[in-house]
Amino acid sequence: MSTSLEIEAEVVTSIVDQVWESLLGSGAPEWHPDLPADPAGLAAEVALRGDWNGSVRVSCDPTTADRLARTMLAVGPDHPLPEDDVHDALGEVANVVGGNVKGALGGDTSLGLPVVAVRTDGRTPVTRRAVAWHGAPVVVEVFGDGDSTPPPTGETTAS
Amino acid sequence: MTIAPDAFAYVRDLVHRESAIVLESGKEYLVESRLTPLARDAGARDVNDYVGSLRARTNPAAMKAVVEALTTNETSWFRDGDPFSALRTLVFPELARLRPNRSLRIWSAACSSGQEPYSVSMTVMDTPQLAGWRLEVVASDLSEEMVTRARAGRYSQLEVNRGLPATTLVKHFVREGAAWKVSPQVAAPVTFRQLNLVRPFPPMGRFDVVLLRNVLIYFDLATKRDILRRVRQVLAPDGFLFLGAAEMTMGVDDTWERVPAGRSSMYRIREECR
Amino acid sequence: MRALVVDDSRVMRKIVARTLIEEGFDVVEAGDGQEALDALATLTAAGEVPALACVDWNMPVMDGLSLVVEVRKQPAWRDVTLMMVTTESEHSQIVRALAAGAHEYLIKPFTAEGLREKLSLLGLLRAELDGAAW
Repeated sequence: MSTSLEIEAEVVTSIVDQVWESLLGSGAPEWHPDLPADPAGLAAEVALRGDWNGSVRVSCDPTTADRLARTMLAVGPDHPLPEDDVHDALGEVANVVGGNVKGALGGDTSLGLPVVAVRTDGRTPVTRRAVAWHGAPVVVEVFGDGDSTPPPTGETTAS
Repeated sequence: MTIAPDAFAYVRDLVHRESAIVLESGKEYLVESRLTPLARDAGARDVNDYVGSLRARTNPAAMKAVVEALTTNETSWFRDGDPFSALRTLVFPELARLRPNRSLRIWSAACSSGQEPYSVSMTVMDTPQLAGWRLEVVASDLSEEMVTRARAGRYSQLEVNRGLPATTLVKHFVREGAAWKVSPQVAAPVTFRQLNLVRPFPPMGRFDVVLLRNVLIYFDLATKRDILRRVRQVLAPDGFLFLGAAEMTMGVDDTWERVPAGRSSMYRIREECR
Repeated sequence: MRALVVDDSRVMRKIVARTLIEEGFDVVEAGDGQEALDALATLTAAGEVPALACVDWNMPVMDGLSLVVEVRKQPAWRDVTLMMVTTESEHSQIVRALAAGAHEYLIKPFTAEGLREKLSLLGLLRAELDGAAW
């Protein structure tokens, strides 16, 4: 069986809340629905392959990504933070959200390693949630493979 | 603003007493950010002001809100460990000898979101001497909302990470969407009800074990005495009482004798008072 | 005591290490299962077999499950407590890891308190080892 990812919005909401609590030490306040939430900048994406197929993507602008990383690492604004660490941090957020989406769906699906790149548009998510982080949106999107571009070029591990 | 050292120390001690969570230095920012909304709602000028007012006049509801704000409402499974080991290795084998009718009744009297009564149920299932016994766990809490949540038996990833051995998780829980749910076998013996300990208890019969953990702290001495007295009335004469890790009956009610149980302690009614 | 933290995300290694360091561990990091085996070999040669290894599942080169299997084959590493720290959260995955020899399993997302409580279950929490009440 090989199905395109489908998941209820409230399951994703619950997952995002818990991930924020765990990695960022606080709740995930909603980004105001009337404000634009298509941040130009970075996107970290993990692919799901197997019984369920699609991906989970977390996007935000570069400054916000830097802030997220600093919070996760508990370092202050003056601490030197290489870009690799910022990408790593965003990737890990995508990894944990994606992993929990996979767990919620059940079945036999493997999770790819996070791929971090410049965010591109053009796909319609199955569900999305925008949360606010220091005045900017962080967008979590779940894509089914009916909508996706070819899988990101990350290695997938045997699982 | 920066939280004053003595205000931080007060909050740290309160949280440690109530939840076992340690707020080391470095967590001042966390305390400030979590308490600012509470301070604002209480009309205090700032967190220092708010903490000052808590220290000036004991306010159980406010203290509880402070602890909850800092412990993210997650309670642990098998909280403090030792009481549940004591149940499995000391209490249940003893009761297995003493009860010819092979049935046990247990009251979890401040059950919150349900981890405690379900932990009791799991402990019974894992005690060989109680195989085939009839078990009833009555679980109660002041909050109707908590009771409803507890009855559902569903827990998040964050919640099942709290004190639950992985082997216990896979044995006694099933996945349900993003959450974990206690298995039907664990849930079956447990019934939930709303109950205010300060009021007269509804008729509930006698219990072999009562867990009254981490709730007496919110009451003044006279109320503590009254609750303990009424709990004694619903406890079997040879039954067992468990309080929270930092709590004791000494200085409150001398009809109980303390029985060491690992690092924790349990209580029985003194022979002469039965 | 030494702890080995194995995760391909440096940020996640730092997050786990933070709590372990607070609990008195000296932490060594590895980015995949093979690096972890190399680190274990080096530590063992120096007489410093770690008491604990926190192991992510999905990693390049060698994943966490394979690492657990390899560690459990070695008598010299018999006393290394193995805890998976991973997003893999299906019931069957946890069973697989425990069957392969992992001692504990911490699901991401987790909080520092959750990690501490797992350490407590494993008898590795400093406050308890020191004999303090808790």
